[in-house]
Amino acid sequence: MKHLFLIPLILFLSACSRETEPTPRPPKKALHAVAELPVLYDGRVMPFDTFARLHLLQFSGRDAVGDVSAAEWMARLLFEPGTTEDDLVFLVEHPGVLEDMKVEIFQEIPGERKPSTRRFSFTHLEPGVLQLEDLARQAQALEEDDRDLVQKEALRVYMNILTYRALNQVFSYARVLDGLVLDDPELRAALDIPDEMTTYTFIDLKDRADALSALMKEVRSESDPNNWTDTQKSAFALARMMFTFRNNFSELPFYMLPEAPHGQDKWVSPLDALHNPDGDKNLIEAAHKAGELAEQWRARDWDAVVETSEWISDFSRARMDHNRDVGLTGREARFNRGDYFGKAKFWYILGFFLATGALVSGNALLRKAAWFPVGLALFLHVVGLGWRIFLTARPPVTNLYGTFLFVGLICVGLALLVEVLQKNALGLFAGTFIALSFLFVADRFAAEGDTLNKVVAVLASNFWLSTHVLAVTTGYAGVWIAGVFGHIWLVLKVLGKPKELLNSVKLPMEGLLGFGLTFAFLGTMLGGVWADQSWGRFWGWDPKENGALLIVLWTAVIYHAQVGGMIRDIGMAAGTVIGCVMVILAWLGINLLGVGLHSYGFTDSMYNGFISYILFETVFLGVTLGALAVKGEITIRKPTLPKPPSLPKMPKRETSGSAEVEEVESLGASKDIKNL
Amino acid sequence: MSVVKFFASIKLTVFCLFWLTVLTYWGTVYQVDHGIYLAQDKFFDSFILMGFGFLPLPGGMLVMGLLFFNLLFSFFIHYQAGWRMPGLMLIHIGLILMLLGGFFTKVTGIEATVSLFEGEGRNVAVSRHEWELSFSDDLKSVQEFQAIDLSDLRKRKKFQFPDSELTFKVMDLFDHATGVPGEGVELPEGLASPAGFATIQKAKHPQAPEDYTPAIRLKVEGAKEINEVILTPFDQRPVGLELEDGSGRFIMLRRKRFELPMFLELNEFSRSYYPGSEVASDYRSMITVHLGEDNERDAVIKMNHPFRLNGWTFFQQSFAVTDTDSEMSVFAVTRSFGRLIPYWATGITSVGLAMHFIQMQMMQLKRRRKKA
Repeated sequence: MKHLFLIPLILFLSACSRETEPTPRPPKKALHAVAELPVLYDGRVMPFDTFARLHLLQFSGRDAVGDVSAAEWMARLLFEPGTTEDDLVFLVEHPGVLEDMKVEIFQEIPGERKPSTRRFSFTHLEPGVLQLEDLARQAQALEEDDRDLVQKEALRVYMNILTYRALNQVFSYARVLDGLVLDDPELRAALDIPDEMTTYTFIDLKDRADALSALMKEVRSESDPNNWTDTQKSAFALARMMFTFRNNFSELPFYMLPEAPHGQDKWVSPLDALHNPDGDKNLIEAAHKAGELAEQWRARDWDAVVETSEWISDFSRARMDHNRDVGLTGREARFNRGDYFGKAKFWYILGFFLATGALVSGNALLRKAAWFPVGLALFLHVVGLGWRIFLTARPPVTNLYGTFLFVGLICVGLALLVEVLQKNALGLFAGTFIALSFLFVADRFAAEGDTLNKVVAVLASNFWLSTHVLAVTTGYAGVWIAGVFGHIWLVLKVLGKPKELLNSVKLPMEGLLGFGLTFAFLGTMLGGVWADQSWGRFWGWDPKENGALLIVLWTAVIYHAQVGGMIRDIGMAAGTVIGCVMVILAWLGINLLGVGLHSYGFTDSMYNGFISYILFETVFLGVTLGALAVKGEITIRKPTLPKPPSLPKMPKRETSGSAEVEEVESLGASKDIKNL
Repeated sequence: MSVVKFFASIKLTVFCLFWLTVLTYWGTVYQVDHGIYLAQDKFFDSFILMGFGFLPLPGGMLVMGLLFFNLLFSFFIHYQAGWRMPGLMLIHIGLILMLLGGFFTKVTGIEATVSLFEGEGRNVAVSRHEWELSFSDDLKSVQEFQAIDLSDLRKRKKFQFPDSELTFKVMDLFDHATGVPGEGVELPEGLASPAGFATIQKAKHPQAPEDYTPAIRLKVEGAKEINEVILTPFDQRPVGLELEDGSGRFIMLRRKRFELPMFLELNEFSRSYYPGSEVASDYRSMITVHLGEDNERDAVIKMNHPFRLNGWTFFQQSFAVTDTDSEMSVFAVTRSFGRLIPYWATGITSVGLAMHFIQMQMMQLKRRRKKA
């Protein structure tokens, strides 16, 4: 409250600053040209846009800085670094880090409605960088498991600051070297420096390296520095400065130029390209062009930015024409801009509200209206996955992020099938709910790193990725959506809803569970076949194998218990809810164990969400089953001797009976007793 | 009849499936602290599991065995008229086959490794976690030896070295042990222990079975001067035993060897990474397989592309780089007579599940239409 009086002042200053210092923003054409530049990062050639997004996500957990896109922000960091130092891009999740850095936790941010206490600017953190370095060194000396939360966070923030600093030096070779004075006339003449030239970039000096080398030969011939002429002393100082510069700024982490044509995929930073050991003139020209690009960006010469960006992209593509990824950077940048899953989320939300309205009110018009946004969302969802398949040349599931997109899509498809059959908005409601949940969870995983990453050698098999992985994730989808219907059924039962409505939930729940069981079994066993092909054994009780087996076993338990009369509708619904827990255990929980051949998906950030979910389901089952027990809906009885499962040749009945009566009879249990 | 009823009971099915679910979960969590091998041994390969250290509970083998008989009995009792439910029949046939195949491959399978430097060849695979006592009468004669599996020996068991008067009695045998060094330099008179251990004692099992270091103490009769031998994996050389007739025999504890019906030669090993990263994109070994005179063929073994011949399968497992930058390729070698049984079982069960699912949905649709 005590800072409230500052808000008008902050807004006023912000308005003034916007008025007095309008920042010229690049036009879309220029930004897109830069965004499509091929860059090598993390094992693959990607567009500059993806490179920028990944770094910004790594720094701040967001893929934009306010209304500035990641590509624009990264271009500013690289080409005109001073302009990014006040941006709130460093996420510090543990206040202990800031305390140890002796940096204020609270910072005033002009122009922001609400001061941030989690994201900080480089300017804000800079005074504490030395302390942060000490913390990071201490953390690095420990084994990862022995680091506490503050140490882990300190190390992460420190690495981000190092990367930030390294990136803002990438184009320093194309920037004017502050304080460099070359006033020796003989040196200027020897280096062919025109009189009007008073400031110099490293490129200017590198272009005169041959002349400087000739001078240095003379210098080296005289071993006593006291005998050097003033020109020789200046030449020596200049050569030393260039050597130091080269050493300090080599191997910076921005690999934008392929070193050898058609050769191995080695990419270098522009400065290293300038100094390439083979003296490759084309590569040196490309390094010059990269320097010009930085200069043109600073000069806001957008047409030149477009032209130079395209020249560099063409250069890289021509050099690496055997690398498919290089030719796809433009398309990937367009895919990023398309934001298909973000747009799908918007339409799913709209569809969810319409479906909820239709479900509650029973309004047929609302239900029909819901099909439009849901159909559009589904289309965007499919298009997004199609893009991913095209860009990676792999089936849609190659990482955890991909599983959420794919399982979400299958769930929507199954839910819409239920909707087509039942026409009561239940499918629309369940489908949109699941799709939204999974797309939001996928966003969390997108923040973990490259979502189009290369797969490790053992997974690099399109056949197995498209059989085992797709089958097992389709199994997840079936069991999951059955569980969602199980949740709905339990809630409706607690609310005392009519049998007809309960049946409309129960029937798809049972069917989808069967669908899930079929695919989970097929996927699990295909995993065994893959393991036999890759590791020489069909089954090794690896955690991920066990996870998938848990789903199969649990689903089989539910079915057999139902057939044996040990459980009825309530037990079945509760069983499908536990089935969801099994799916999450197999899907994410197993990765948290960090053991076995499949522990590639391990992430720290999963843990809290995972535990919260298990707690939620425990509470949900406790509350719903408790409520049903209080209502006398749950009784324990001796299981009836099972009759054979429902057979096609059932005795003919009058069709006037309710659907539930038919179901109860078909299961061979008396309908008046309900038990868990 | 009550036995038949018990084995055909659906309650038994539910119990077995439920308990297998519990075991699977428990065994998976157990792996975090104890590794896959110990978890497998304790939860899945056992008949009785000592829960919490004192509570005897059914182990995986027992439950899967019960499930097998349950499936078998229920198949004949309940599905006599089951042709109307062909999916269910197929599911149960497939699962019976799966459990049978799993048991069969477990009993008959061989798991070993072959490690080769570039230019090196071998016709012997080494077991990952089985050990043997090998005997030979000549140190140089590496091809001719006799061996006895360590798993066939028990404490106090006596055995004789063929073609000699040497007899041995097992005094101590541990699947994982540490040696207790002799006091000072001298070992007790009559004890031969190449690693210098005066005695051996049981140790806590490590997580990985390949890290086990078994040890055996043998009483020897028929050898001059030596009446006791301690053998461990730390021995740098075999123990030489001199017989009364002056001839010698050599005994050593080593990983079990399997003779391959071919000679495998590594021509080249290569590995590649995605550019600018530590992520491996490919490992591959170029090999030549010699099957006899004038009968050789070249092959490539890489990830997901094993080499199979005469029932043996070679997989690219790992590699090692020595201090001198020499690269060694490590192949996993397996031989399994029933390798394809799980494949068939998977196919049959999956088809059965799909058929049953479709049949149930068709019935459901019919009911809906009827209602409509």
